[in-house]
Amino acid sequence: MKGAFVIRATLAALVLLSLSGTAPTAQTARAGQTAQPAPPASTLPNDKDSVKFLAIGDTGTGGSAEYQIALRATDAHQRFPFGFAIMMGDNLYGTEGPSAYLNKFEKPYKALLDAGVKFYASLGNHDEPSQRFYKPFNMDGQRYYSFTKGDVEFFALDSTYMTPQQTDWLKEGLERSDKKWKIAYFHHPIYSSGARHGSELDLQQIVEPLFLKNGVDVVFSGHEHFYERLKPQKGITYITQGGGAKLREGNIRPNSAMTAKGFDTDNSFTLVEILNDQMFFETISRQGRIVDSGVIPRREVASPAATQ
Amino acid sequence: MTPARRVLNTMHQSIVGVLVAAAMSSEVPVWGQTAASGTLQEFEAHITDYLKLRQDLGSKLQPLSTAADGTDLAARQAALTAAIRAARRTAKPGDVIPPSVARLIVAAIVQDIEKRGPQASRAIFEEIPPVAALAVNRDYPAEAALATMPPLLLSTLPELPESLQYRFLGRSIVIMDVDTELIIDYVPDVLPTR
Repeated sequence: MKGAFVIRATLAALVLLSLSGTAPTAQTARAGQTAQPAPPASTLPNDKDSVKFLAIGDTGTGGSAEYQIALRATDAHQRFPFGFAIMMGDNLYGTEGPSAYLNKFEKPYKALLDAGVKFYASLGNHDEPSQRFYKPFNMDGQRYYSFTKGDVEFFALDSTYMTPQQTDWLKEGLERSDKKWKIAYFHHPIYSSGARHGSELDLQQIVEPLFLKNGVDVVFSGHEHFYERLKPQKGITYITQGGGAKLREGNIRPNSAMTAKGFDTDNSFTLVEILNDQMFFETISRQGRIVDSGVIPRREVASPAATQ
Repeated sequence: MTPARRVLNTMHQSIVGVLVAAAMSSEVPVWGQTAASGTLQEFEAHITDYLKLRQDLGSKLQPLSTAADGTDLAARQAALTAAIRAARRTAKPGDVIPPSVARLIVAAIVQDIEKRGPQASRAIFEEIPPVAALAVNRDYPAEAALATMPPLLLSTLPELPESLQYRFLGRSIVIMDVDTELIIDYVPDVLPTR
């Protein structure tokens, strides 16, 4: 199984070469090609005890960019074996007939699925709510849900339909959680420098107080078809990763005071590693370039009263 | 001002008048109190009837929650959709949302839009897909995205069970069955023309 996976990944890297002309990985060098400069060294610790995951958003086109991102992620998985992926919505664009799941998710991500990577989806405005029943999205029939990995609890929300019931569920879940790290993810960013959409202010009013009070460390969103890491907003780091297939070039407002790092000239995905009190991240472009990386410390929230 | 807008304004003023009178009588008008007057009770009874019908029909089919893959899920959805559509083939607007509740929904939407600035209102409208013709028992357009419901507005509308959702479509607000995307009722022309 593992050997077959390596062969498939090698073939995938060869396909990537023909598409992008980017320097190959070590595997393609072993396949007999002329040795080329290795890609930039990863900044991730790749510790055996850490929580590792892939963050992707707005992926469901079934087009060449989605396939290329999936192949890059597969290639990355060889050196950085993340166990699961979070999906920030718009998982399937267009009509959701039987072939949509196959062509816009299962085929592009087949190598990762075959390697046992679990995908935990959230719903975007282009997603039918019935996606929650689709087993490979691991939503367990729920529009919003939580799961834990190590000392991290993830809260996947449905930002397209934020009812008071969902808000109550989120509040109770965050208050109950005893995990060191709390990460929320959902489709619509509550902070964004995007010229097309921008910050979702309604949603910000509702969820931000809960995040602040209950020690949420990082929030991932999609919807904007680019990558943006924002400067911490009241101590919380917000990351928009909506570049998984579609791209809105030049859409990050250039003079936004909120932007720590923006990338809107190509598609991308983000690798994340949580180790003790640090979250390491690395955003990689469709061309295989590391376009952002760094470390986010865990927030210290002593008590709910401390953030009021 | 368009005739539709004039009607909406009149409704709005009537509702506001009622609200002011109630406030002056030291009663804060909330959904719970309108339920006491029977307005919401009728709506809730219609919703309960629909859910019972849906449950009865669904019990004869394989559950969506155990669908193995995309093909299986689509087949089960289609079966449930066909069953509901057949059972409600004579359903018409107003069967689920009585006129009294429709008026309250319109008032809530009008008040919400008036509180928002132009940018926030534009953010609502940009996601709403157009629709050529709206009818009970039709599907929400398959190729169209589901317009995000503004959470602050959603919190002012009568609560729905998890299997039903409000969505904007064209200038109307629909109640949509979440698992089949069937429109089970709607209130037309609740949004101003753009």
